[in-house]
Amino acid sequence: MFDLDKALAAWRHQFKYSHTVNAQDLDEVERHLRDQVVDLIAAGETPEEAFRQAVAEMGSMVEAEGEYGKVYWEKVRREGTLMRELGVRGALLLNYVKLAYRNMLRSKAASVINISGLAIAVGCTLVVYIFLDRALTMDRFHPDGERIFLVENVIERNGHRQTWGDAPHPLGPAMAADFPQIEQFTRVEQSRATMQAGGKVFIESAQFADPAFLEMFNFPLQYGQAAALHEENSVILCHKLAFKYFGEDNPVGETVVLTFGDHREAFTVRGVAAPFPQRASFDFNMLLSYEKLYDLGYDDPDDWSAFTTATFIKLHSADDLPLIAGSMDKYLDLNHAATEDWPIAAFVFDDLYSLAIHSEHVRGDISGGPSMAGFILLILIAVFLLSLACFNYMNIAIATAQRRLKEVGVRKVMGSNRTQLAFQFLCENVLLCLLALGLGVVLAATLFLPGFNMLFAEGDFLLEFDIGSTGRSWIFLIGLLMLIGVASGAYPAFYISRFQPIAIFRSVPTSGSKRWFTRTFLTFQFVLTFITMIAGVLFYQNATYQEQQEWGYNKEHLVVMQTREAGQYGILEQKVRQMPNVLEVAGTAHQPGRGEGYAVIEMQGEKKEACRFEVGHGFFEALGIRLQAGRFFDPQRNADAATIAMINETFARSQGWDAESALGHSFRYDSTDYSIIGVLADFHYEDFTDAIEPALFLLADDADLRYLSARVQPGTEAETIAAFDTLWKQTFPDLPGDISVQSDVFAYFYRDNRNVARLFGGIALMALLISCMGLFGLASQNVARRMKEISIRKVLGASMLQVSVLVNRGFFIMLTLAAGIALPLAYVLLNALLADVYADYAPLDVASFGIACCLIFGTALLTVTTQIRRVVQTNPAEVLRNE
Amino acid sequence: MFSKRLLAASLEPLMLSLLADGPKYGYQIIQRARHLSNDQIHWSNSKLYPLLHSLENEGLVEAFWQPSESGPDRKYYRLTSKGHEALAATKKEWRSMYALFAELWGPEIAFG
Repeated sequence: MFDLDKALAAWRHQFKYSHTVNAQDLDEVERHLRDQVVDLIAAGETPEEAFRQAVAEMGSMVEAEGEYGKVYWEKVRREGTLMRELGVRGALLLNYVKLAYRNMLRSKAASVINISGLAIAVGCTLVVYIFLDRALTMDRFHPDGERIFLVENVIERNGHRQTWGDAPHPLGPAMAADFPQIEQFTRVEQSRATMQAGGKVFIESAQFADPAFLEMFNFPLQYGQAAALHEENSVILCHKLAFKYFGEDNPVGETVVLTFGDHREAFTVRGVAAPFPQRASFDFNMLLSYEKLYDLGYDDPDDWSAFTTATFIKLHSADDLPLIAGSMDKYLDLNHAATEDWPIAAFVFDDLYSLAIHSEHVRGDISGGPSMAGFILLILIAVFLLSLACFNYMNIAIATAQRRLKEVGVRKVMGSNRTQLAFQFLCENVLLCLLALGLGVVLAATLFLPGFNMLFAEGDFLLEFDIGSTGRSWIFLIGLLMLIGVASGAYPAFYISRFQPIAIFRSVPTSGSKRWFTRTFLTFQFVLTFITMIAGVLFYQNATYQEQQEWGYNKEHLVVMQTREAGQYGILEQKVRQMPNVLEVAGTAHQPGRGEGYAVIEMQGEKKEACRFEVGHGFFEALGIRLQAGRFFDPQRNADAATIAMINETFARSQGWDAESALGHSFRYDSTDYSIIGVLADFHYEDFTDAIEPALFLLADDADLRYLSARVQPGTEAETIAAFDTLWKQTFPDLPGDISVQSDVFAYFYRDNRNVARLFGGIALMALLISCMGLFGLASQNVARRMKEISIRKVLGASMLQVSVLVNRGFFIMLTLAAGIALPLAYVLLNALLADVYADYAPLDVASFGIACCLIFGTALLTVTTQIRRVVQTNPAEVLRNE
Repeated sequence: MFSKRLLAASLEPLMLSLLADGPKYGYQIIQRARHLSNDQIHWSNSKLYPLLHSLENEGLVEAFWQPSESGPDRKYYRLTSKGHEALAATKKEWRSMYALFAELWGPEIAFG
């Protein structure tokens, strides 16, 4: 029987908690409805129909609330009660927060899982952010950087264009003279010198710069005057260098002795630079006047074929650049006239702030910057971990929703509308995310950032935790909070609020579609976990593989001493041969792994590039490099010493010869014709990231020998090093020594490989952790939901094992599926990645896949086992009694 | 049916005019409007009351409750003196508009 009053009361309930529609308004509208119903009944409608029509005509209440709201705020503004209103709203918000907090405490396990998972992901994201922020905002501390440009040049080589960061010596002054648009220019030349000061002597890098350098670039001095650089033989030290030689004292006025090649001169310290900011992509070690470079006899200021490290120009306005760029032809002509080898094809310009970012594409440039591929990888990692954690949250929230449906039902009956409910759940979510964010910040500062620095920081590139110090980092934090809050909370909030109260109280809705949704999430999480775990195992295997790679010669028990100048080798060699543990001695100008020379040769009418080694007699034999055809250099046959050469396998192959047929061919280098007398088996003189390139070997003049390699008795390396050290100090007390073992020469490479393996291992572990948290959440929900079924099965006599397997079977099917999807993806991706980085690598094989699977399945099993214990411990009678 | 824009523009003038001849309650206003316009006017009721409250905020109308025999109290609205002034101003506006159209359309303006 239709009861108008009841119907109206129900209608009113919609607005019970509305903030904009008050009781009086409701009274008014209710009266309106009553009047309309009366009229409709008079017109012939049934009461029920009349009510329905009247309510329908009332229009959308959502809109109405909006309109009421507008009027309400108008009133508030007029009457000046804004503050009081906000106070009321604030109290309401606080209420939501209190509720959210209480709810979180109630489901502790779920909250812990969510918070920790999100925190880990947030921590990683923050580290990535710090890294990227640093890399993308390099050099901003120099003012007017938009007007400062580095002059670069483009060269055609072997068919492709290369961009180089250097420029001809005369270019800077010539451009400054020709273009009034150029306000200032400066050149920088990198060099090395032996520095003697404060009782210490070391080899240091040194920079020559034009006077405008310190004006164009923001490197303030802690002591001394920048202008003093003009003075005769003056030098400005960087902070680190000053500390190294002079400690805390102010060294201005002190004398240092610098030796450049053969020139040994005294210089006066005129200034010390303040410590350089972290965001400098280039700086200086010690600064000398550019004029001094010519003074020392290096280079010819008018030689257009000689290049200086960097040439910077500062324009009055950046708009003038196109004009200048278009007028560079005359300099190209000057360069072409001066050299035939690799003439410059074009000059290009790059502005200061972009230098670091573009650095990976520019060769030999003064700036340094990481590669873009690294950036992208890091961003992907952060996004990946965040998604995992958010998926987790969604999964758990939806599963928890089942438990909270009763609460939802009660609230709805009591009058909450859907928006309020959704808002409340969103509030809980934001609170949780706030906690996660806080924890994530702590994790990043105390754990992840130091870890990252340990793995990857080189020298000065340590990352600092500067979140919170810049405006944009706050924006990033807030944005991150919004993102994870909304991304993880939006769906569950609206899903939960959608349920109808009556349906909730009548039965427990376990909509199958929602379970499919959450299981898909979990599958996706595990796919990602499998991929990263396979990657971790693979990189670890690869690191081992690289370490086991043959170098092509016998690298063990080889102690190497480096000399500086002509003649030193001869003196040392005699003494070294007399040492008891030394079996063989050989010298070379170029030591494998320590840099080689380079040659442009002409062969059969064509130009060709090759690596060039100049070696002493007996070098190959001493190192154990094998001969494929022909003969080694023979000290007995000196007549043709100046016109013979050896080549490596790769060289022969690149010309289409086999080892034997290569003999007798000749090539022209540096105005001399050389005849090939032998072919060497390939050996690695660079690390394993690049394939071996064609190389030629010439006999070195004795004066050019720089490296002494001594094959020693196994086990006596340490003694020998000590003996060499003593020998050096006795023979050349004023010069720094450089003694090492040959097998260390690729130590950096192996270390980097290990670090990459560790990084991926770390990521995989975190992914596994987060995924297993998700698995734990779902598994426990699963058991809770199926308690009744489990108990019945127990009563009917099923064993614990059978029941456990049955209940958790779904998860293992899901894991297998994830593994199946991950494997081909991992195979393709990782093989491509490895092929790109290494010339030779260990490909993905069954073993790595197997190990990854074992780790993941094992951990998953462990996770699920906790639930199995629950199953074992429940008393079926109790459960069934309560149902 | 009048276009939405026309309805929106004429809402306030109509409201003031409908109240000109004495206080009314919401339902009454709507009925009158519908009757006078041959059912052309269709305001969603949810817009009606907020508008009335808004006019009340601006001081153009004032509201008071009156008991009734057929049920709960009703809320009546009547024009204030300010409201009457506003109505006069509105009338002036619309008369001008009407004169303009009369000029443009000639005798046609009288046809329905």
